[in-house]
Amino acid sequence: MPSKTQSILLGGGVVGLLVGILSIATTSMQGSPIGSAVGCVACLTYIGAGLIAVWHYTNTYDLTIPAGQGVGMGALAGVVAAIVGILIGLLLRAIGLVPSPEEMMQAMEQSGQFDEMSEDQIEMTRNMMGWFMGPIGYAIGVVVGALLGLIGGGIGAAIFKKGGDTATETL
Amino acid sequence: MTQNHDRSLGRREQRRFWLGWSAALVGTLLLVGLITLPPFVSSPLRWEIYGGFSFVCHQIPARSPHIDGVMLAVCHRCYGIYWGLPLAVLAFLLLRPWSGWLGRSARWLVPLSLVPMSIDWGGEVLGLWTNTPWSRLLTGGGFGLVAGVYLARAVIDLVVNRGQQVSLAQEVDV
Repeated sequence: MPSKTQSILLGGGVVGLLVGILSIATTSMQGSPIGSAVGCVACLTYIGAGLIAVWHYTNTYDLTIPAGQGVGMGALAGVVAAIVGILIGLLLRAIGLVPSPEEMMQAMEQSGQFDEMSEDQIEMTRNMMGWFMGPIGYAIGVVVGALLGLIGGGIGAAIFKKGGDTATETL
Repeated sequence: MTQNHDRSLGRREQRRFWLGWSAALVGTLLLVGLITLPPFVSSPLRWEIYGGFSFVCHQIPARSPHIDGVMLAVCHRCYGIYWGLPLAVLAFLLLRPWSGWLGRSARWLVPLSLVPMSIDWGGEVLGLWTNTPWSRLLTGGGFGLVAGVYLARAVIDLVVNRGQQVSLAQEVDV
């Protein structure tokens, strides 16, 4: 079987870059429908990492892969996406492209989001924005990215076929 | 000899099927458990869990489920998606006879499962209606159920067929 590395890196890299850039949109447009939508589809982008990896592999080598291989590729693509997204997010924060917690709180207040929240929820939001994540949080992020990528890989193996059924059909 | 080999292969395939299915169920339930954990743990673990899921969800408190006033790790829609996964794994036991059809129908079934979510979100953006926690939860759950079926199918395949293409002679209908 041809090497899957290129496809995994492509799927993970593209989505990781997208997630890192979308992190700007999510935080700077907190109150807007666009910001909400971007935040909502964040999990779908990680599923996309698996989809892209499987699509690229099956398209490049013109073959069909079993669902089991798809989930493996998808999980690895999800890990790559999570790591790339984290690194880009950290970089953007370091160079000041991501708004500060105070600016985000102001944006949310101006958008009227606080009208829907209790005082406790507002306080929780303030605490969440000021929280500096530790290694456990990043580890959870990578695991969640892997799981979502895994789902994408499983779906991709079912969608991107180049002819012929696989053993998955007989489960 | 051949018959004995076929029967033992069948039992081995059966064991692998249940192993793969169990792995899918436990994995998805653990994920839901992790998301639901914040109200039951104190900081800093609570905040680390929030941080871990911050990559995949906006976590806006007003649009997220709470237990005893403490927010879960994701929003209503995402919570519905994640709950759909283990439910789909359970449902796969009933859907097994249609595994082939599910595979052939993925091209339209997966996009179709995204439509309710899109309508639920889009309607609010366009000012047609205001979505509710339950509408976000249920429409998210719809996509989660479909995604979960393919997740179950794929994880089982990974274990049963060891992720390899098997020859026609080895395929066993479990």
